[in-house]
Amino acid sequence: MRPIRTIGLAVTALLVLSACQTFNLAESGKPVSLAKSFSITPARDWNLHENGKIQIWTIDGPILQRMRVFNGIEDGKPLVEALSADQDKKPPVFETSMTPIEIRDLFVATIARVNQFNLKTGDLRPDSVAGESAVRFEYAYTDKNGVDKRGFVLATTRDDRLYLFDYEAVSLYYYDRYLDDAEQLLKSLRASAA
Amino acid sequence: MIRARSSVGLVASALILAACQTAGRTAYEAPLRQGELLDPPAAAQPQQAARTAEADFGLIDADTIAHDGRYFRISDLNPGERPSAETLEAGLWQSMDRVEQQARTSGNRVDDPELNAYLTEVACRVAGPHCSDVRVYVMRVPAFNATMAPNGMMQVWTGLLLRTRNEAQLAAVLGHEVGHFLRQHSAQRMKSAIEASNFLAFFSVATGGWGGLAGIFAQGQLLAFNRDHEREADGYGLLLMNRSGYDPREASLTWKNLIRERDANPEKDERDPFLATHPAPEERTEVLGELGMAVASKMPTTEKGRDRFLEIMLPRRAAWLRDELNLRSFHTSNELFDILLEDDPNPAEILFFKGELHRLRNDEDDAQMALDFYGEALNAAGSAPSYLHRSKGLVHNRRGDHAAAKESFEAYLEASPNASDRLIVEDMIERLATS
Repeated sequence: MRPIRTIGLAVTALLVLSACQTFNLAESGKPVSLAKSFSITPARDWNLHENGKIQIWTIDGPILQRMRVFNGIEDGKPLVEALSADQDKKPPVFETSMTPIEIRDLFVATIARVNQFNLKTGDLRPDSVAGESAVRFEYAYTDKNGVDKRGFVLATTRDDRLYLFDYEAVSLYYYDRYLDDAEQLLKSLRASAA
Repeated sequence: MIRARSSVGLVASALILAACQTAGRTAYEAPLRQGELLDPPAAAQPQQAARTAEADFGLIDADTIAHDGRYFRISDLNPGERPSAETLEAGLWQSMDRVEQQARTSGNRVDDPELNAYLTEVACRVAGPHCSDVRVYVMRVPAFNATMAPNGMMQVWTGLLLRTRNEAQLAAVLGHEVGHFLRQHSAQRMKSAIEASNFLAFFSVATGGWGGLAGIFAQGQLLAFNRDHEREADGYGLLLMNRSGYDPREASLTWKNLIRERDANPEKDERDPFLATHPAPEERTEVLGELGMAVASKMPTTEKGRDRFLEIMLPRRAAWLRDELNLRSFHTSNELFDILLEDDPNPAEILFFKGELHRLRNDEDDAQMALDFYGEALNAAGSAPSYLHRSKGLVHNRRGDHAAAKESFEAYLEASPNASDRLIVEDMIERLATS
């Protein structure tokens, strides 16, 4: 009984997260705005897909490597808006009062909603983004096709909204190949004037 | 030819995912009338049990072939038998072999040698001479389900292991799945699906771009074994429990508990297509209960295997309980935890997770409820996870009780000096000290 109820939301979420997407060129040196709170300036060309509050940045394609940006999630909202479509089961939601531990748990629970239950997270440690205090952790899992994936999350809040940057790539070759480019994107983050 | 093969593969991919959760009454009656359940358990007379096994299946076969004789060619499987190369079934088996290869490397597979060895042992005990035909894969999915493919690949989900309470209950499920295998229900389904022109529907599901388990759920729903198959498999489950010496009265208890979980959810989805198209689980509980009693009365001894089962499951359970929390299904999870508490040797762990349910729901009064359950967990028998104090700290912090939050976080770091979030917790303690 329970698996059947999972269909709607899981399919919806998968479509949002992984289905056919239109990508545009994010040119080197040109700033891109993140929900009016931050700007990000790539130092090389990336492909950029935007859908609501989610951006996906990639060079070789999102299955191989990508930076996913959850872009200004408001209090009481899930990371993936489509999860709200399930009337039977409440999605895990962001709350402005959340501690870094709870933000990590929110991410893990959201990933579990798309049926990836085997995420292993590494050390949770303080960091900073554009002068704002932030939290960072690494993670790893084997996907449904048996491919080892690796990633890290950097999350911060500004104006009571959550900004969560999730770099993920195939462990073999791709993670290390584009790690510096991913870090460069994060270092380029600047707070926009209020 | 190539297209035909790939079509078979697509249907086959869908068939493997068949869920099996239904039952009715009539299919059980045949084996009982014929006195098939009078055999002594295998544990008592292993040689004799092995000989009578094939006779059991043959007699049931005579009663239950009712659809189309052509599709029952391999229904009376001999141990180790595979369909010959030019048959429809051969294509199905080959496809399943490929699917099995994927399952073997799938990220959600639980790669735990001891757990897998245990499940294989129980499956072998119920499968008897067909032991080497059945391969068990444990998949980490927080839901009650097991599946059987025609080539002998069985998948058991961790949500099922969390909900069964002893080896006999597990054997009931595994015996049911072995029944699907022995009667090759998937092959029957494939053939009738093609004949019923439902093929396009299956095709669209199989190629619709639904990835991962979402696809599994959807396909399982479309391609669930039909009611007769489920009745038959339940009957086989009881026969195999009888033969292997497991207490058949345990078979219905898992279903009773699943009904409790379902009824605990005030928002249960009445549009659920599963409930709309299948007989109620109550019917299954009743039939399995009555037949289980009848079968047990003919058995010289029955075994539940509770201690052996819990020895394997309890050390692994915390991860499965955390998966349950991630579903955010407060009412059903709360009922499940209450069911577990009724006879659990480690109530401290369950009480902690009841507290977690309240902390994560975060409605009115939930903070206090969470703290109450954490307190109960600390005083209960068994042991709660070491991160209980961190959860306490998070609840106190949310309520603005800084002194209590600081104290709990300090207790957490004392209990878990190498915690992966130590730096963050130290940072929080520092902030709480100055606020």
